Amino acid sequence: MLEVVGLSRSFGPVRALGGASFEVKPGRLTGFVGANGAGKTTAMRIIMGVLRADAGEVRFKGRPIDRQVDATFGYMPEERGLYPKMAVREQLVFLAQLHGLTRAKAGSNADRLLERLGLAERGKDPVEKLSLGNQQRAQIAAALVHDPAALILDEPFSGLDPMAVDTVMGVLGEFAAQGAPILFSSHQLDVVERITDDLVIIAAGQIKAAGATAALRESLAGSRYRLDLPAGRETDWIATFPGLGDVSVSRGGDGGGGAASGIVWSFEASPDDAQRVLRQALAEGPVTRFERVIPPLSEVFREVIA
Amino acid sequence: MSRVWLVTKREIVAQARTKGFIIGTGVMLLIAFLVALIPGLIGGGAFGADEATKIVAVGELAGQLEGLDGFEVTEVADADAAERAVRDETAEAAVLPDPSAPAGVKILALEEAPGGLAGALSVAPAVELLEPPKIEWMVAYLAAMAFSFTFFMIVVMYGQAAAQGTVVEKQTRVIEILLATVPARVLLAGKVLSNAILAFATVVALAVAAVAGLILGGGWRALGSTAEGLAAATGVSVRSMLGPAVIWFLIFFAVAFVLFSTLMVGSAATVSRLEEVSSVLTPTMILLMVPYFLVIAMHDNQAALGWLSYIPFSSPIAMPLRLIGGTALWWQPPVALALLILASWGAVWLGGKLYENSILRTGARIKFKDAFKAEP
Repeated sequence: MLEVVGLSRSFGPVRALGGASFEVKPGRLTGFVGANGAGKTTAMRIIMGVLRADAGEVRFKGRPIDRQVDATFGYMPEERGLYPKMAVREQLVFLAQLHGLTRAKAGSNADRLLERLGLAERGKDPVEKLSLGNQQRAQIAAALVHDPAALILDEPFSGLDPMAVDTVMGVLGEFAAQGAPILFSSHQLDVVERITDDLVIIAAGQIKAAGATAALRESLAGSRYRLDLPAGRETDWIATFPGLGDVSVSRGGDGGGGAASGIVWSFEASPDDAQRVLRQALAEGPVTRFERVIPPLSEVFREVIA
Repeated sequence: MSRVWLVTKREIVAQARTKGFIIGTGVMLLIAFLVALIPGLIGGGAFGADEATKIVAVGELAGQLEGLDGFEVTEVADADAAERAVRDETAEAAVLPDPSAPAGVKILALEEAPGGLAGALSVAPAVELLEPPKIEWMVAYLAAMAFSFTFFMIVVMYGQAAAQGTVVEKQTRVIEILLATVPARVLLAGKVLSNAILAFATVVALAVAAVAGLILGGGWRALGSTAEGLAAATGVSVRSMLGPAVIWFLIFFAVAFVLFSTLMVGSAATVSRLEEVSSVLTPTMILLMVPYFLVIAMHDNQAALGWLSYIPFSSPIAMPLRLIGGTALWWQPPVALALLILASWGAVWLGGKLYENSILRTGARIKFKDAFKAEP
């Protein structure tokens, strides 16, 4: 487990972090989200030991991090960078050796990652000759090449096409499955929503929410329900059903999510009233979908940092 | 240490592969080789003694001139034969008896008399020096030029390469990954060490190229005979002084390179663009240039040279010069070296601090004062 305890850091008069605490559990993908300037990069740089904290500490497996022993984290900085004129494979081997791997192990790790990330044929090319997307993949390989004990990735998905996003997500998933904690920041909340197990939300240098992504969304879900019915049914009774509020309906077309040609009702209700509506609807005919509406992450995010 | 060596190795390989390095070093070695080769080839003028000049003389004069240094005398029958020899260029000049001249002889030549012949025929008064110089000033001057030029050029070349490499790492942002892997001081040490190794190798290669040029051009033999002549005249063997001086120069050079290149790398860390490197290196360049010009200007002023041989910035040039001149006592080079090591230690501390505190800060140039105070 990677623990961040009470981290503070100021740059001159600007307070970038004000006592931030959170944890990254082993084997779990933890998303780190926050607006620009919220303190994500500063926190990640402190975890990596690139920056010093004014106060607080970072613990790994219960002990404060010892740079000599634990300099084994994999890092992908916000500002990407590899030696532009150095060949990709040579560079990966160099970085792995710098982390203490033998030359042979560094070489086999580099080959495995290049293969996995679809760069096997570009190993001898200098980084500057790769496309931006491939440079990004090389950067991810650089973070992973030394079998890190934990991964800290600042915006790993920015600049990737959807195919590459899938490849990278796959690689990260495999890595998490081996039991290493992974912390990554991203502005692409749809991606975060899809792949994170846990979530840490930061605003103005302070942690606003942290926990399992599903639980966070659940806890912020209100009392809105959605009821989908096949097209052609008489359902106007729902509009005047007792106990419902803010009722709306769309018929055919737009509905989204599986009810393209049906009728979609949406309303606020207590759990009991919602069940009563469902029972009556079922009594009259088939129901294609009934659910409590869980807000998308972007909504949770807006709510939390507001 | 192994990580420092990894960084060092990468730097050396990366630099040695660039076209600029290969061409630049090649041209430099070629120039050193040619400079040493050409004077030896062109009639040996610069190195003195070469083939003897052929002259002819009439009758008993030929016997008197026998053994004249640098001339090969052939006897001819009369003045007409002598003139024919000069006209058909079998001899460069003829010496004929001339009772009307004060010296009793006259020189007959085609367009101009061979240099030294007139002097060799005249009688000079004996000279006795009460305090003969220990070494000829020309040798001192040439050695001063060679040491200071080599030192200056190599430090500028490789110090600048190290400084530019620093900014490139900053500009390409690879620095952040490196810093997440190893401490800043390991990176700094690797950078300085790699350039020191390249610089040292270049100095040795330059020496080899120059010696090869001298040997091929025949200058080596001439230098040797000049040195022997000097040794005979003054009792001091230049070659016996040159050896220790060169060894001390190399030791001083290695330490001083660390001093200057650490300062250069530390300064360069405060800027983020290659265009700004030269301006940020100015203070270090002044520290390098002022002693360079001072030593050249003061090479024959023993008092000034004495002071310069202890000051860490000028001692790498001044102390070897004093060794050649034979004016340095045995304990003086070690003391000057100790002072230089102390100064280098200070430079490493200062440069390291600048480097650590500035290397991650991109954007506008950071003032030295701020870089010194700030925490990374």
